[in-house]
Order: sequence, then C-alpha cells, then structure tokens
Amino acid sequence: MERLAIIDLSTEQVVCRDIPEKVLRKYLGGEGLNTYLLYNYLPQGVDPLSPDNILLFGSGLISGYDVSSSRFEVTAKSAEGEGGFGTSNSGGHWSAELKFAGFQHLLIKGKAARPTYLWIHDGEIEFRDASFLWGHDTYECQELIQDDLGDPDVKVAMIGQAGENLVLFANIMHGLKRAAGRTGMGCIMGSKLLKAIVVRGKRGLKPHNPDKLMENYKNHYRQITSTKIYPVISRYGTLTIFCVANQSGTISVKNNQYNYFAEAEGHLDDEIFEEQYKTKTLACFGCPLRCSHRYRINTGPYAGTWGEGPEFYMMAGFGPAVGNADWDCILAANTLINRYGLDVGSSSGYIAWLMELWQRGIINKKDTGGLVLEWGNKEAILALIHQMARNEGFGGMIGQQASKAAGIIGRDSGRYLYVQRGMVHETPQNFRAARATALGEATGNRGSDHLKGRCALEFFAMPPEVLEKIYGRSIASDLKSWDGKAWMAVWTQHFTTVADSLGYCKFATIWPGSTHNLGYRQFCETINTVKGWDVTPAELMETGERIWNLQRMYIQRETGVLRKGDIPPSIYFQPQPLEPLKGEKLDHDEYDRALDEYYEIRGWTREGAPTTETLKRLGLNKEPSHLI
Amino acid sequence: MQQKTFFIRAEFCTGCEMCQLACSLYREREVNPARSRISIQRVVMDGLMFPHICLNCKEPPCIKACRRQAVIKDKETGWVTIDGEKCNNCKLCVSACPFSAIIVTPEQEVLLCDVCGGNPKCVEMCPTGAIQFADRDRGVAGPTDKAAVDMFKT
Repeated sequence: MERLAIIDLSTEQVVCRDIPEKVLRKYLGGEGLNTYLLYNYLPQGVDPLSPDNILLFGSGLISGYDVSSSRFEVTAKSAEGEGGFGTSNSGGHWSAELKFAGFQHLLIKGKAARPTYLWIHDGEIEFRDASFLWGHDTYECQELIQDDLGDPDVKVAMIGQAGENLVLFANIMHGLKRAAGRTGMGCIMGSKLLKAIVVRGKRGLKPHNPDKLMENYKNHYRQITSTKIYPVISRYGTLTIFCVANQSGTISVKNNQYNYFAEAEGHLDDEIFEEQYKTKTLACFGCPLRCSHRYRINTGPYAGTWGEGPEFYMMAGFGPAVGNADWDCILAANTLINRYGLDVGSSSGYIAWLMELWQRGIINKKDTGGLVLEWGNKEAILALIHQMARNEGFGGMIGQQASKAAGIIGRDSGRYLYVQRGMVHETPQNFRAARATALGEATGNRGSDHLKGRCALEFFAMPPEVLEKIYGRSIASDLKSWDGKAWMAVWTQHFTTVADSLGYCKFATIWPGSTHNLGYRQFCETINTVKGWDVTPAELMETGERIWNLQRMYIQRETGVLRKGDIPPSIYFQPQPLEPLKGEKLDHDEYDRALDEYYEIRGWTREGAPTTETLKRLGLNKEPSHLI
Repeated sequence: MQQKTFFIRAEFCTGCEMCQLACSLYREREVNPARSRISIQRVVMDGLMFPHICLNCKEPPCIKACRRQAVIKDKETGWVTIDGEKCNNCKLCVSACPFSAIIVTPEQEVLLCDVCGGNPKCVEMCPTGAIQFADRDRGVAGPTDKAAVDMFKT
C-alpha cells in the first residue's frame, strides 16, 4: 500500500496515511497526486514563504519498478513569480529510495524552530538538528550527512546556500547535479528551515505480478536501448541538442536579441566536452541512458574545478544567452550553480537581462557595484552567481527580487526582461518559429515550461501519416504552420504530465522525438503488472487531462490569472534577425486564434477557465474532496 | 568442460542498479536492492561504483571458513553456492570473502549469487558491459580490486 506522511515541522509530529486506491488510480503519484494534495491541503491565499505553505515530495507511482522510472516531483505554492503553481521534477536515486523507505509522498508543513533535516529510514521519520549543515553547499552537505548518520548509502535531497538565503529561484538538489528547478522550491524549503531530506530504505516493493514485471522490464530495456537516440544520449546527454538548436536558429543569443551564435562554432560542442572534460559517466536509478557526466577542468584559470552535469540548459544559458563561448567558464558556473543550489534557467536569464541593460547603457558601474557586465565577461558572470546565492550586493538584490528587480532598477529596464506568469522566461529557449512548442510552453501551468510544452516531433518535419498515427489527428509537418498544432500541444502536455506522475524520465519516452521509445502502451503494461489494474491508454490520457485541469483550477483559485498568463513573452512577437529562420515571429492574431482553438479542445471558456461540464466529465466537480 | 564466471570492469559501472533490480525481482520476486545477490558499492562524491558479486574463486576462502559445509563448489561448473538448509547465517563466510561478494540482508540472512542457473539476469540487464559472464580462461577472475587500482590512477 502506498503511503503518505504528513510532517509538521512546527510541532515535530508525523501522521501517516494510506493512499486510497481510488485516489491513486485517479492521480497516479508524483506530479498528479502532488497536485491533488496541494489543492486539498493548501489554505487559500497564503504567502508562499509563510509556514502555512506546504511542500510536497512525491515519488512516481511506478518509481523503482521499471527502467528509467527514477523521478520524483516537488510541489508547493510557487516562490518565484506570481505565487502560482510551483512544481518541479528531478531524477537520481532519491525517488526509488523513498519508496524503499516505505513512503510514496511526503507533505511538509509548518516551520522548524531551528535548522532541521529529516532522516527517513524504513518507515520511520526523525527530525534532526541541521545547525552544523547550515551555510554549507550541497557537496559538503552530503558528505557531512553521511558522516553524521554513519551510512555512505543515504540519498539526500537538499538546499544549498541559495535556498537558505531565500533566493527566489533556488533549487532543491540531489546528488551532484540532479535538481528540481524553477518556481523556487529550494526557497520554500529554506523558508521552513529544512536543510535536507535524507532517505534510506531496505523494504522491498512487491509487484502484483513479479514474473510479468521481469518480462516488461527486459522488453522496455531492449526498447530504450535499441532507439536511435540511445547511443547519442548515453554518450553526450542533452548537450547534443546544442549544435542542432544553434544551427537551426532556435537558440537565444544575448538575451534573445539574436537567434544564432557564430562564436560557438568550434568552441562549444558536445564532442569537445567529451574529449577534454569528461571523466566518468553515471546514471539515475534503473536507467540505461546514463546522462550524468562527471567533468574536471585541467588547465586555465579554473583548473581543478570538477562537478557533474552540465545539461543543454547550462551550455546555452551560460553560453550564447550571455554571449560567452568558453567551455571552461560554463563548467565553472555549472559547479557553482550546483553547489549553491541555484536554478540554471532563471539565473542565466537574469544575467543575460542585466548584460543587455549594460549594453544599452541603462545600468552602469554605479548600479552594479563595480561589475562590468559586458557580454561574455567571465568574471562578472561568476561574480553574479556568487552574489545571488550569498545575497550580497547587486546580484543579491536580483536573487531576492527576481522579476520585481525591473521595478527597482526602473528606467524602462522591464522592457528587456522577458517574463511569463511573473517568472523569467527560460533563457536558452527561443521557439517563436515552432508553433506547437511556443503554444505548449506558454500554456504550461507553471509558465514558460519546455518540460511540458516542447513538442519535439515538430522539429523533424515528420510525414503527416506518422504524426497522425502518434497524435490521432492530422497535424502539419511544417513547424511554421498552425494546422493541428493546438492539439499537438494539448497531447504533449497530457503525455508529459502522465510521465511525471508515473516517475518515468521523459528521455526514455517518445517526448524528445524518439518515436520508438516508451509510450502510453508501455506505461499501461507496467502499471497493470505492478498494481493489478486494467488501465488503458485512453484512461491514462484522461488522467493526464484530469491532472492538468486540477492544476488550472488551482491557478484560478490562487492567482486568477488565466488567459493573460498564457501569452508568450513579448520578444516572441518580434522577428528573428538572423538566418536560419530569419524574420520568423509569432503573430498576435494567429496566436489568439490558436489559443481559442486550444481552449476549445480542452473544454475551457474563452477566458481559459475549465467549464462545469469539463470538470464533471473529468470527475473534478467535487474538488477539494479531502479523500486522503 | 569450460567453466564460466563473472568479470567486472568497475570503470564502466554507472551505478544505475539495474542489475540489483533484475536480481531481486528474479530471485526474490520483489524489487529490493537490499536483497539482491549483487551489490554496488557507491562512492558518490568520487564518482566510483564497484559491483561486488561472487567470482567463483578457484579456491574459495568462504568454503574454508564455513563450519557447517554449507558452502559448496560444483566440480563441473565451478560455481560456488550456499546450501540454505545447512546455513545458519553465522556470516563467517562473509568475513572470509575478499571480494565483499556475500550479501547480508536487513533480516540478517546470508545470500550468495547462484548465477541464475547459468544465465545471470544482472549481466543481461547491464547496459555498459561493466559485468560480464564468460569463460574463466579469458582473464583473471576477480579483477574488482585491480579495477579500483586502475581507477585511482587518474
């Protein structure tokens, strides 16, 4: 039986509840059940950083059971932005370990009286003093906890100094690079004086049909390792996206002023990383994709710096977005970001913005406290990261204010800060030419969210027959056409939501554009084998829709921002200056029409609110139902 | 007859634990790395992963250590197994094994790999070839310690 632990940090009391099967089947786990718990347990209208906010950790329903199912979801009222839906997903070994320790979900409320960490092992939860950890970065923190507990095998989800200092875009980190980023989940954890959640479990997970699961396990393993994407991902990880994105003009250069970065050619690419920096390849629990790469910088000013990562986001965010073509600097920034527990997308977004303000003469040395924010100035980039995390100087102000910093700087600086739902737009992304992706990202419930909205198949000019087979409706092959794209966005959002609720890594699914990877059918096989249910792909699709709609109800309740929040940042409506895809932009009228179509498919009003019939159809009309 | 045993190349191990998942699922009918007959020593901060599994030694110290003759080496196949009927979980064999290959479960039960009857599931599920099952003559059995030495050289 899957269990939920309700942990009150104020009183140091824990209540455990079994999750009823009917709720489990309706919301699965991970993101889905987190959404349900958030909607039911969060008091309306609380300040995100107050003790009343709740922080949810949820392992995927089949996390630990299948290949590449290592993900957990962290959910709370968002710290970054307008206080909407805060959620984030991370891989690693933590999720499965939480299951082995006897829990699927943790609900954390209140605020500790002193720095605390939670020690969860084999069904027991202990509150332990974390004073000796406070002020330490994530790498040090893990080693200190291993020493404190005398167990080298504990799995730790923690915050670095950024979370402690309440930086609005702080991450929750796990291991050396795994991060639950965006929406400031680390900030919420810091506001509760919770430094870490440490899990270790030796309880077995008992599937309904072990023999069948073994067979599924083998089949899914073979399926993943026989795709075309497998050799690439397992060698370079997501870095492989960089050259493709740059050369196809869908990258943000110098805060989205340009869409192609010529300086990167011959300097920034995945093969240079592999040859010069990579020292070891590691993997998340049960995953053959092994996309975590250890690196070490051997020469130059950052010699001796080591760490794990980096992903495409790091490469693009601290590369072209800030006008930098130096791998060393990107890797040094990556180590800092992971140690401090900052978000890559947001911090590079703000740095890029500040550099554009400098370029335009809006800010100068007097504002920055002496930093010279010229494009690609490595010292300034690293200094800003230090300042943000430590809450010192100019960078510290950005960390504490996030998008509100535009109001503090004034002087029309907000014109160049691209935000959506109050959160800075994910820097490296520049998808104005790709219609379904632009729509899917902008309508994401946390705002500007490639993890929900990226319709990768759009980029490959697939034959219409193939697209129709996958999506069940006719969709244009051309990425610049709007035909069928609203449905493509809806389909992708449901699919990614189901994957996050089950705990699958999206890179093992068809999401990154690998048509032969795991899909709904394989998800059903595993769920039915593990739980003994009779779930069908149609039911799973509806589950995705249900979770999506409940998130929308939550946004409606907490922020009231619906249609207005579904519009991409202003830069998307201006033409791109460089080839390829020169002159591409979104058109306001076309986008509005697509949004209307998107709402119609979803059964929402023109303002973007779910109708009563839609809620009834999805069984959401009685929410909050308080069944757990 | 040619004898087969495990070969470990620790530098290729990514620490994904798929071998443990497969082992516990096949042998224990549950997913539980703590009851898997192969274990991975994870030194996360150093990025080192060491798989430990019975290497079916030519002269197994565990057999000498056992007071109840519960550890047996098959003459024909060369595989070393524990007779569950005779074993009283005293763990002398665990102390004797130079490769940390004998597992003690959370319930203090002693487990030893039985090569799944000649078709080990861990090898089948290893994505990088860090653990292989091949003819003993192809190399020196028990290179885990050597792999560690090689890795620290960098």
